[in-house]
Amino acid sequence: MKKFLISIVLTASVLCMPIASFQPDAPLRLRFVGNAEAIIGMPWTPLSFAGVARRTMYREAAWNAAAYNVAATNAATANMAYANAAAAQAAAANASAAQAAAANAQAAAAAAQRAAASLPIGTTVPYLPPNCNSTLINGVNYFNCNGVYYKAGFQGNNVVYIVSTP
Amino acid sequence: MNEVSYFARRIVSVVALTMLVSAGWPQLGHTQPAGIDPQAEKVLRRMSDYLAGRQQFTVKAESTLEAVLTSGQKLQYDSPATLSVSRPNKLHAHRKGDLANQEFFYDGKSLTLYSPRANLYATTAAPATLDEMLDFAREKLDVIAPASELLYKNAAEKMLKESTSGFVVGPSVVGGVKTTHLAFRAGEVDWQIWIDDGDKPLPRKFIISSKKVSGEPEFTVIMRNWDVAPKFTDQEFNFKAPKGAKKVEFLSLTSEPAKSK
Repeated sequence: MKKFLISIVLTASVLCMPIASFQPDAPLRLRFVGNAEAIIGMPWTPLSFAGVARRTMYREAAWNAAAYNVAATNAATANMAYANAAAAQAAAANASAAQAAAANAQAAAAAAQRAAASLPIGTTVPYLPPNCNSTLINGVNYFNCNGVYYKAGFQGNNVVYIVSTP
Repeated sequence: MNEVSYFARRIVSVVALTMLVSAGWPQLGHTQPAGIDPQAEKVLRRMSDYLAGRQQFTVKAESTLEAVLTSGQKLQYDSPATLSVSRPNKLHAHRKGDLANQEFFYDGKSLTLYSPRANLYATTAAPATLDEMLDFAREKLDVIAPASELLYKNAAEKMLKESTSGFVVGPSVVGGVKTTHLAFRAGEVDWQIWIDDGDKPLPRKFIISSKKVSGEPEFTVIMRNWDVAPKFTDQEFNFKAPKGAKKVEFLSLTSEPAKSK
């Protein structure tokens, strides 16, 4: 049965090979869903797609959700760190040990930046962050995004970017 | 199968049929036969054989993908594509639209997938025939090549193989063309196809319903502008990397795992 599904679905793919790769050309590129649905858990989160039997598509949906979860988690971490930094600054203004507190705030802010920038090696995302430079290292094309290196590749019909060590 | 839903469906279909009949569509007056109606099979095979016999053709396919949101609301995404085929071993497909832009090249020796937006492409050696290449793309690259199933020489055979029932719904006009509407059932999906009644029995429309998926989303392709005597050269199928395009890999062919975290 499974085979049939795949084949039928392939038939469907008739001429639309890229069916599994809707890629809105927006800064934050989501497949299947537009930017409005970027937030995990919003009612716009897709539940199912036609031809879920299409292996690629099914995986695509799950995989996107995973990618966005990573992004969301990192964003949350960064926000928290920034909040801490702000609190520290506020404390600094009030406290007599202003110098020390300011140093703490700076450290917290730096930590927040790192949290926002660092993704585990091997993390696969469907889009690049802004301000990336293409660079050729040992014959392989990487994208250097503020010190984080991504390697691009085709996963099924889709272009993905993998956090890598050049 | 759940008996209640089965009977509910029967009742719905009987009512629907009655309504249609009274609306003056006598061809729909018969009930759905068990198994695959020989006439439906015949029409499908005629299409498949005809297409298998075309050495070169082009077609424009407009596909619509349905997505079901957690709220139950359905959205549709449209995507036009053009496809060029030269048997036995060449294929070029270009999907171009607001949502996607991608090209697929197969020149009998290699297969290339190109994303103009990212300006990236991946190339790999490919099997020597169209049928083998389609299998290769699907199994090794996880790339859903365009027109796959219809392009196989035994397309009807493959489609019928696991279908449990099928019948002729009746005549229908798709895009101004007189067609025969066929409906089939399989385990996970129901599918329908509209085949040109003329001397060129081409597929004009194709729908797959994922009936066991929440919201039962559908995938639809409408095929227009069939040209079974196109004029193109081998250039059509040769990929030439555009300026600035960067070469990347098919991740499934590299040892590096491409797993999301």
